Amino acid sequence: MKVLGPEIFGLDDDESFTIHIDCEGGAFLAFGNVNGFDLPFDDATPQADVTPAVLAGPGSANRVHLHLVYPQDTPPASYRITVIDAQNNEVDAIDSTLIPNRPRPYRVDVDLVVQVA
Amino acid sequence: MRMIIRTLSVLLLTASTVTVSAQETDPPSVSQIINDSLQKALGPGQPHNVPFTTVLLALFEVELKSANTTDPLSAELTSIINRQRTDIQLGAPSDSPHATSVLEKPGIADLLSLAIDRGAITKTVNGTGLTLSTTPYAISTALGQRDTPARWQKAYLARSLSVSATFSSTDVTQGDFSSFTSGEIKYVIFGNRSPRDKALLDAVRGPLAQIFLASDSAIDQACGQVPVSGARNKVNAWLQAPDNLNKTVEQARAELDAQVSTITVDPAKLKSCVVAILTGEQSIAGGLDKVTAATKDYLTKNPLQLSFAALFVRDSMLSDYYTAKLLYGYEVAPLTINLNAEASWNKSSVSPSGAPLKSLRDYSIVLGVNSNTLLNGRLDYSLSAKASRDETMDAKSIVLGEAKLNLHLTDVLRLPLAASYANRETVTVKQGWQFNVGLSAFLDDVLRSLR
Repeated sequence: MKVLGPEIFGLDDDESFTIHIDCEGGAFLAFGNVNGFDLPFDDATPQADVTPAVLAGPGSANRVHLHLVYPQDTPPASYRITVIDAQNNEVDAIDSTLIPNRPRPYRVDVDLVVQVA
Repeated sequence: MRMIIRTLSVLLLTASTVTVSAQETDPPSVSQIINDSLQKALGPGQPHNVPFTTVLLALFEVELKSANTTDPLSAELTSIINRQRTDIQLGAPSDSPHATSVLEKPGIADLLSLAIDRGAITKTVNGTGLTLSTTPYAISTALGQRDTPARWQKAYLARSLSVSATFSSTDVTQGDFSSFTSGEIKYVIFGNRSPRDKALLDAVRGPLAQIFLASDSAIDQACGQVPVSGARNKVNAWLQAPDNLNKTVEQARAELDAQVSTITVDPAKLKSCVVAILTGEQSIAGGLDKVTAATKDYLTKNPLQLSFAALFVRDSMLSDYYTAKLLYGYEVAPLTINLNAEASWNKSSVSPSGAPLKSLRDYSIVLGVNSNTLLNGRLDYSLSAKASRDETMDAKSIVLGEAKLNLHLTDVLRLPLAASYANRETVTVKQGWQFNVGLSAFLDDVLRSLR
């Protein structure tokens, strides 16, 4: 797995990777999907594997949509998205922090682009 | 090109008008969505990053030239979980000297609450009482423990226990604890209604995931052929340059416009892409209705609340005393029915004037109803009655009634207004009408944001 640019990654056609979402200081409401496949995140299983089965195949650019929701009552102080390759190396990390003066619930959207060689 | 743009404007306006009629809310404007995204990207201490859809919308706006910048952002997710809650005791505990509530509720705040009560039902004190409530869980996180959902779920005891203390502003004359007037420990036995509860979050999670999935799939399909990745990468590189870290939204917006203005794209593809984004924004905004529905459903399925509380009160007139309370609540939408049983014991057997005191001070039963929140979470009300037997000196039975209106000034601040009536006078209770006001702050959000 290679980092090609801001939140853009290159994968071999048979390669998988893992997305882990940490939450601190509130309720965990993170969502994810790719190519119509739901990536189920919750506080008990805050990570999901993105396998070749859900990617579009060689030569494709796949957009992994991640939505971090800050609910009104117990908004998390922060979320942290970690991209982990098949060898369990941390390839990239993206932080999102609660902005106190913004009306809630609001969400932060993060798109990871995965280009399959 | 102008004809195309006018056509797009008419189409979007028509679509927006239909939405307004259906949902009675304004549609998101392109400019507002872009500004919102840029504001996120430029938030303090955040890595700067502009999402894919923002660049698409900026491109559309550059094409459109005539974007309306006055419309509000996508319909705010206005129905909030916390506004559904009326079960939290924020003010002074009932039976404490500064209490302005006959009825005490069984719920507790997750982290911290603060309340100022002016006026009192009992006649042992005057002035203003300040009540602080917190939980051992909140204290542990303040001391360095990470406040993660997994830890919160495991810390059952620490989050089910609440500690509160009431201080009197009129008594602070010495450098000691003379201002402390009462302290209470409460344990929630059944019915933790915290919005952190996994059962509630799971009910919310499913419907929202489906909305996000549908919106993203539609955007992928409609926007997949619009070339914007290059522009997005250039803007992000600009945002991440050290010299640009403190740029304003307006400056970032100008850079975004400059980058995307160089892109050429098929207007028909761009239009269908933008429609998909706007439709997705509206469906996500409407998703909060599902959150509200799920919250109400959660409360309906978890109607029972039962708490035990132990209270210590300083009383210089007769004797310091202890109170034990069993607090029961049952949700029968749109009301919560509360039934409390309380008994108090004197600490001393003799009053300061030398009069003998019975050990049992008084005992009582309290019955009340509390409405769910009304007017989009801006107020709730309660009616309660307390039958009490005073055993302190001359045994008397009295009945106290109270009507209370809680105005939710903001999501943090609540203003309780109460009128109570006692049918007779006892050693500790005033006869007749009493009017009480207070100010309560549910500080979980504030505390969290300060960390």
